[in-house]
Order: sequence, then structure tokens, then C-alpha cells
Amino acid sequence: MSEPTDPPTDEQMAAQFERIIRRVKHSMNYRGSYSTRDILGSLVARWLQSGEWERLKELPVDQRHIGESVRRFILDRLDQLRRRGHREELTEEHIVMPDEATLIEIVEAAQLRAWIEARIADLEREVVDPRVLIPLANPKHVGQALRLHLDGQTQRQIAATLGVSLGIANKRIFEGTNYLVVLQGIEAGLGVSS
Amino acid sequence: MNNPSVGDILAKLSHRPASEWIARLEKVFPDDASMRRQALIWLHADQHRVADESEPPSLGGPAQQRYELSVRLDTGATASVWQAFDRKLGRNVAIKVFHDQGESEAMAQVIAEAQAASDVISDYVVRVHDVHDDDAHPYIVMELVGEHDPERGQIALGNSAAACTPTSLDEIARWVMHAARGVHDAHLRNVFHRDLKPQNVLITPISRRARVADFGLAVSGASEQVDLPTMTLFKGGPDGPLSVRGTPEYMAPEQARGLPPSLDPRAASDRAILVGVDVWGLGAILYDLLSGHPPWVARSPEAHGPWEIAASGEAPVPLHRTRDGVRIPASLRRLVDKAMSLDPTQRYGSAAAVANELQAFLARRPTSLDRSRPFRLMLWSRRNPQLALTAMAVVALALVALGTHATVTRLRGERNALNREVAAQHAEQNLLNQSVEQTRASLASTQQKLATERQNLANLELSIGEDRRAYTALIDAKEKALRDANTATRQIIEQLEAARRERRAADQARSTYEKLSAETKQDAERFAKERDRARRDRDSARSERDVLQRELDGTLAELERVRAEVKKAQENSADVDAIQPAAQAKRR
Repeated sequence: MSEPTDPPTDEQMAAQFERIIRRVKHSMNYRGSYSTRDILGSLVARWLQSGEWERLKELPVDQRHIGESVRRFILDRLDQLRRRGHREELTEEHIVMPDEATLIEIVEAAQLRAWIEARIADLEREVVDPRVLIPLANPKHVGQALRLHLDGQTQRQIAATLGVSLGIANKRIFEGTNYLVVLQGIEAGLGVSS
Repeated sequence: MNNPSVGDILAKLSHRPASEWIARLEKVFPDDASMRRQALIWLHADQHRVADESEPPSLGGPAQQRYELSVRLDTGATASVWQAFDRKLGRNVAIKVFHDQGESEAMAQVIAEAQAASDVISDYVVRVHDVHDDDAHPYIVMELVGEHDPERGQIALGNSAAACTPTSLDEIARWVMHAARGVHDAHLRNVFHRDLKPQNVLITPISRRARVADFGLAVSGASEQVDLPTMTLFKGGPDGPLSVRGTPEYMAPEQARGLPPSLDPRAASDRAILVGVDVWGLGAILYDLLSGHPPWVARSPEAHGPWEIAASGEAPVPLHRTRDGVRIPASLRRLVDKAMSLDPTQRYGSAAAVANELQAFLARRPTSLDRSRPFRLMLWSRRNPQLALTAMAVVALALVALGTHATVTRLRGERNALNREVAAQHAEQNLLNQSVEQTRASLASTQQKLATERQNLANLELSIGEDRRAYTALIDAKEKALRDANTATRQIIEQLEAARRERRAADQARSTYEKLSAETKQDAERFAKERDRARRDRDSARSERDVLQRELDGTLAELERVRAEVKKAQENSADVDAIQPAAQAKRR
């Protein structure tokens, strides 16, 4: 039986909030120019979509071999393209995977990004999570503004696309981001009283 | 969720110091701990928003005094760009403020970007004025791409080519030509951009000139190599692992498959690789501006992504029409195809070559790829319309003169031929006149013969008329006799038909009689048989009656005898009855 833990102090709680806020905001940043890590992140996101991660999570940690699974996944996808195009063959030895800890970081980032995109899709359908107690006005517009924000549009472009003022476009993005942060806090067990 | 005042409460609290939030929330939501927690998260997030988005970041130190940041122009993954006023020099500038602080790699990147851009002196590249990397927020001070708008009396800001709508194909070609000139100027200083895309080409708002910006991924011969890969995806060759940097939608195939991070712009072989990547990037910008989409696009969320397609070696979808449906000239299509050749050695050898080709296109001169003579002639005509018109007029006059001469010669020949034909027709006419005279004489004698024949014919017709009348009377008599014979024949036939009908009636009566006679005979025979049988039955009944009569007689006799016996017995019984009382008395 675990020993009862002391409730977090205000500073600890604020630090936890800060981490969540930074993670959510970082995941919502549009990546115009990609580094190798970003490329790998986009491939890992597709790997997550394939359901392979759900299967691996059932296994003991030491038997998961995430790197190997991602490497095989990348090679399979590139092989599909090779059959379609004219790319020279890439063999297993050509692909280098980062260490498992880094890869797990990338997987978590991709999961968070996928979670954000799913919640934005919910907002676009005017579905607001009932656990969030702070009212969110006009969720559909908020969802649309966030979607454009994720696609890399500037706030001026978002305002023009939605036919609203720049101030309203900013407000929608901020409210949507705050909503996602609160929901992420709830997912992490911080947003509801035990 | 239905409480409309929550938003107002949070808005008010957001302006209070963070240290007061918990206490104030406990007052406002004393019974709802979940609401307090969520409100606290919301307020923290809102604080970030205020810090990140609304208020300009603090540059720290003397820079805070020198630069007055006013409007946020753009935000990216690593930095935000702000419009600022340089109080010292009295000019407007743009300041790129990086988000990350204190990370050595990020700081080195800032310095590398600033060095790369500042080393380039070009009218087509956004100039870098200053860099600051040793304080809270690293930043780069750049030229503000904007122009004074005399109508509005203020500075109009430029926008990226991706956000501008080109007015014509020529404008697109002009923008890319400017960008190519800027890229070439950078190449001359051993600076290679490696991330060319419409978003990194800024268009001035009034003069509509293009300038290359954002050298964040540039390789510079002057700077230290800073983008040693912290992570790699491909092992690469003998030079070590490969690094993938750039924007997937616009990457050259070899760039997507990874380039050695240690490329040296001063080495000829490495330089060729880097030039090839930037030439591809210029082609990709042209491709995007013409078609309205980048060369590599995922067909669906589940399909292969831009990077995967770029790395696969597939060719981009060929261009035919612009996003507005305008047919793209063959010259531009060939230019894009060459700049974006999958084989880097088949591309233009320099960005200047791309610029020259576009300049030729804009000047209506043939590009190096326009080899067709008619096409070149057409382009020359467009460039020199007066000369072309004069030449066309001279050619037209010469053609008219040649045509006239040929026509006169032909008409003369035709006239001589006609004269010869007229003489021949005169001779023929004389012959015909002689022939007509002979024919007239022959006709007169024939007419005379004809009159004689007509007289003979009239006589013959008179005799034929008499014969015809005699024949007519004879035919009438014969027709009358024939009619009488027909009438008699019809009467005989009618009588014969009546006799036939009578005979058929007699035959029918006779057959009916015979039938009835046969039926009567059969009935008589049947009645005789039934009579005989009745007689036999009667006789049989009579004999039975006799037998029964005899039996009845016997029975009656027997009955009489029994009656007699009964009477006798009764008489005996009476005697007994008389004796019995005496016997009794005696016994007593």
C-alpha cells in the first residue's frame, strides 16, 4: 500500500500548469521548416495512426522495441512509394533511429498533437467537453480559428478567412488554446477536485 | 457551463497579480474546487497569452530603449516578427524575436542566420542590421519590408508571396526573377538558403518587388557550421549521417533524402549540391505561384506525406493551367520542369540562369529551352512589332507583285488560246451553213411527198368509217341474242334449284319417317317383352295364391277341430266343477 502523499503546494501546482501550457502551446506551433526530428515526428504520428503503438502498449516495456517498430513502419511506407516511383531502394541499414527515450518523447508529442487535432475537430462540430466548467462561447468558430492556426495561417489571414476582425480572431485562438490547456489539465488529473 | 459571469470573473482576475488568484477564486467559487482549479489553469494560460501575443517581448538592456516594438507581423515555431521603430536612427525596422532562450544550439542558429543574411548585399534580399544573442530574448534586427503609402500617409507593410495574389503570369515570373537574383547574390557570398518557398519571399506593397527573407536554414561559408544533426534519420555515406532540413512541401528530392550536414560552400562539389537545392526551391516557388499548391501535397490525411513523396523520387504533377484556369505558356512550363528536374545535374547551373530565363520570358525573348523556329519568330515579332509589321508589309507587297505578274502572263496565254478557238469556230460555222442549205432542199421534196400521202390517208379513213358502222350494227344484234339466251338460262337454273330443294325436303321427310318407324318397332318389342313378363308374374302369383288358399283352408279346418276340442274340454270342466263341492263335503 502506497503512503499518502501531501497535496501539491501552490508553486508545485503552478509549475505543473506551466508544463502543460508549454506542451500544449508547443504542440500547436506551426512547423514551417522541418528538421530531422520534425520529419521523424510526422512519421511517428502516422505510425500512431496505424495502431501499432496501441498494440505495443500491451507488451511489457522491455519487449516493446519502439524504435524497431517505427523503423519497420518507415521502411514499409517508403517501400510502397518505391513500388510506385523510381526511388532507389532503402535498406534497413540506411535508417537510423534515436534512442528509445527520445523516441518516446516524440511519440508523446505526436500523441498530444493528435489529441489536440481531435479536440479541435470536436469544437468544429460544436462538441464541448462537459468536464470543462468554464463556458466557451461559439465553439465552432473557435475550432475553425484553431484549425487555421494549426495550418500555419497568420492571425490576419485567419481573420480574413473567417470574416471577423483581427481582435476577434485573436480572441478565438486564445480562448481555444486556454480551453485545450484546461482540458489537458483535466486529463492530467489537475482540473477536477478529488 | 451556463454561468455567463465566469468569463467576466476570469477577465477581471487576469488583470490582478497571480499571487491573489487562489484567494480570490476561493471567495468567488467557495464550494466548487473543480471550478477553482480550472479557473487557475485558465488564468495561467491567459497569462502566457498576454506575454506571448499581445504585449511586445522585452528585449532587455539598451535595446529596450532603442527599439520600440509595436505590431506583431508574424509568428512561427521558433520566433515572432515585430514591427519596431529604431529611435536612434529614426527608421522603421522588423525585429525577429526568438522564443527559445539559453539553448546553445538555438543561439548558434540565431547567430548563423544573422551572419548568413547580413553577408548578402542585394536589392532582392531582406537586409539584416543587427543581432543580439546574449540576453533574455535573442533577436535579429532586419529591414522592414514596407513602403510609404502616399494615399494613406503611412507605411504599408509587405506580405509574403504566399499571401499575395499575383495579378498576372508576368507578375509571378517577375517575383521569381527577383527572388532568383537575390538567391544568386547570396550564392556569390557563399550563402545558400535551403528553405526557399513562397512564405519566405516578401512582396513590397506598392512597387510589388520580391525580396528573399528568412535565412534560418542557410549554409554560409563565412559562419561556423552550426546545424550538426542532433538527430539523423539516414546513415548516409562515407561522410557520415545525413541531415534533413527544410519545408517538406518544397524540398528537393535529394534534400528530402538527407544531405551531409558538413557541406562546405567553398568546395566545388558541395557548392553544386547547394546550388541545385536552391534552384529547385526557385522552381518550387514558381510551381506554387502558378498552380496554387506546392509541388508535394498529401492526397489525404492517411496518404503519404509531402516528405515521403519528396524522398520517394516521384516527379511533381505536371503543370498545365493556373489556379484560375489560365493556360500556362510552354516556356514557363519548360522552365519549371528544368529547374525542378529530379536529377540535380539536369537543373539550371545557377540561380542567375533561372533569373535570366525569366527575364527572357518577360521580355518575350526565347529562353534557352525555346528551340522551335516558329516560336522564336513569334517572340521576335512580339518584341519588335514595328519591324515585324514593316517586314510583313514588304513581304505582302512582293507577294502581290509576284501574284500580279503571274496573273498577267496567265491571262495573255488564255487570250491567244481563245483567238485560236474563235477561228476554228468560224470555219465550222461555214460548213454548217452549207449543210443547212442541202437540208432545206431535201425538206421541200419531203413535204411534197407528205401532202400526197395525206390525201391517200384521208380516203382510207372514209372507207374505214363505213366498215366501222356495219360492224357496229352486227355487234348490236349479236349482243341482243346473247342477252335473251342468258335470261332463258337463268329461268331454267331457277326451276332446277326449286326441284332440288323439293327433293331434299322429301328425302328429309322419308328419313324422319324411317327413324320413327324403327323407334316404334323397338318400343312394340319392348312392350311385348314386358307384357310376357307381367303375364308370367301373374301366373306365378296365381299359383302362389292357390297354395296359400289351400293352406288357409287347412288352417281353418284345424281351427274348427281345435274349437271343437276346446268346447268339449269346457264341457268336461263344468262337470268337474259340479262334482268338486260334493267331494269336499265328503272329506270333511
